[in-house]
Amino acid sequence: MKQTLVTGNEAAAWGARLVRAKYIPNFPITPQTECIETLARWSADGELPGTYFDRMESEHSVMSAAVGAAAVGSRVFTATSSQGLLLMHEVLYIAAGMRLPIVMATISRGLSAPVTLWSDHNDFLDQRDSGWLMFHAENNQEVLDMVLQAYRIAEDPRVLLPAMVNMDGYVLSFTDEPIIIPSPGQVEEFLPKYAPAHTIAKNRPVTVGPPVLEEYSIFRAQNHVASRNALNVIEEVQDDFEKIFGRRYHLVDEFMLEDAELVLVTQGSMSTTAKAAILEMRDEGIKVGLLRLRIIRPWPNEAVAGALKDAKAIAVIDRNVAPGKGGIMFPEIIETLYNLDRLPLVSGFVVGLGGNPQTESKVKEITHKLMDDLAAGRPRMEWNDLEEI
Amino acid sequence: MREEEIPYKGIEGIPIIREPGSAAKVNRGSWRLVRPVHHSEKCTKCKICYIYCPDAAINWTPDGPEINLTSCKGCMICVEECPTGALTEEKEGA
Ligand code: SF4
Ligand code: SF4
Repeated sequence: MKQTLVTGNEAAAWGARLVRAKYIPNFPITPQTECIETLARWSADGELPGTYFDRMESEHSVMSAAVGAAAVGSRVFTATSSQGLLLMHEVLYIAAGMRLPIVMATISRGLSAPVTLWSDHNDFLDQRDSGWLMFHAENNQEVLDMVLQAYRIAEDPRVLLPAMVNMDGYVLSFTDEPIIIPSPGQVEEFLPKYAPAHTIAKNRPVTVGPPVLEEYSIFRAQNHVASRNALNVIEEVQDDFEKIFGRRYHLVDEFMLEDAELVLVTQGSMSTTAKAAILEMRDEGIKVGLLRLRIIRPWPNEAVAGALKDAKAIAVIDRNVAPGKGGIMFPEIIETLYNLDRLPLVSGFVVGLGGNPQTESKVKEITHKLMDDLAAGRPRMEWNDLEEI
Repeated sequence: MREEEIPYKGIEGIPIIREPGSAAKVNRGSWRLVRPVHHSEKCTKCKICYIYCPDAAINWTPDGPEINLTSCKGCMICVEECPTGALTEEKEGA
């Protein structure tokens, strides 16, 4: 099949184009800018018929406009990064609470201060409890595929929640990779015209998201149950996706786990580097494998526990930090394993903050430290960026 | 309630009020602590209170302002803004 060279930003833009998004409110921010510029160019060239490309004055306004447009029944796409995502934070909860299936590409970049333009996952993971579905891609093909899948999952009547598709800034956003861009016909078969479940219409005025009293808990529970429902829906959508596009995705990405004694848990683009390092370590006879987290919310508890249950030792590699606690996914993994009969040793490594490169040699170093931890029977929590400083 | 027992309510579980204008049917002023009282002998019908009320709780009539106490929250902005002292504050339930 014909492959095209596109950046991660362009892959997300292709997603928005192929799903025929009706409304794209936007505000530029590095490293998301190229995604919006691509859509702006297509819009100016008349290649996005029926799409209203709306330049706004801030990300808070972007997400507010997205909520309004989704509430009147439009399919909405937008994209942001870092500080922009934080500025949207308040409205993200509103979008989820009103159960509006907006899809947003987030292009991860570390948070200020001090200022960095480079990638880590703190901006994305900061939205963990917002009620959105949260997906994290490893490469540019997955960015595009995830945007297409995100609409199907978000718009499903069993779900009706907004979804975030994350890619790592620079590493993916500005790197050309050969990907398959599906035909509009295929996408239309996979994702039919949007038929909103609830809308504000001129002849049918309703109030969305009004103040409530003790019912509050019911609506929060429904947000939770809808997100849990999404786990089944994701699996169905992945089956359908494979039928139409021939590419297979799972709730978690397992790499050389069958006989792995040591398992690295990763997220995003660093997984590709880690997989290359694992292939080399396998040649040296080290039984190491990898579990890549790609669905962050809803949390695929059983898939994660199932993939990790036979490991002897696990290294959770967090490209983020919760100061005063440690890596964000480290405790999530430990909690997921807690009810297993036999507990593997779990060490945590904070790496690659503000774009610090996550090289193959660093992955090998982590693996060797994990072997030491296993031999000593003592897990560690370590900052892996600091040694050379 | 155990997580798996929570029924998924579909669109019934989404916070939407389908009946337009339903707030008009409830008393939105029940928690007011003080109320504005109008003294028509001092009123010049300048409409300042009518414009300033943030809750649109003042109706305008040929005889001047008429305070809708099912909507008035007792914020006292109208009392503060009235240039002639034609509106005064009175404790609720006093
Ligand atoms: S007290 Fe406040 S709410 Fe009530 S009528 Fe005056 S301005 Fe309006
Ligand atoms: S502001 Fe005072 S004087 Fe003016 S209309 Fe209202 S009550 Fe009358």
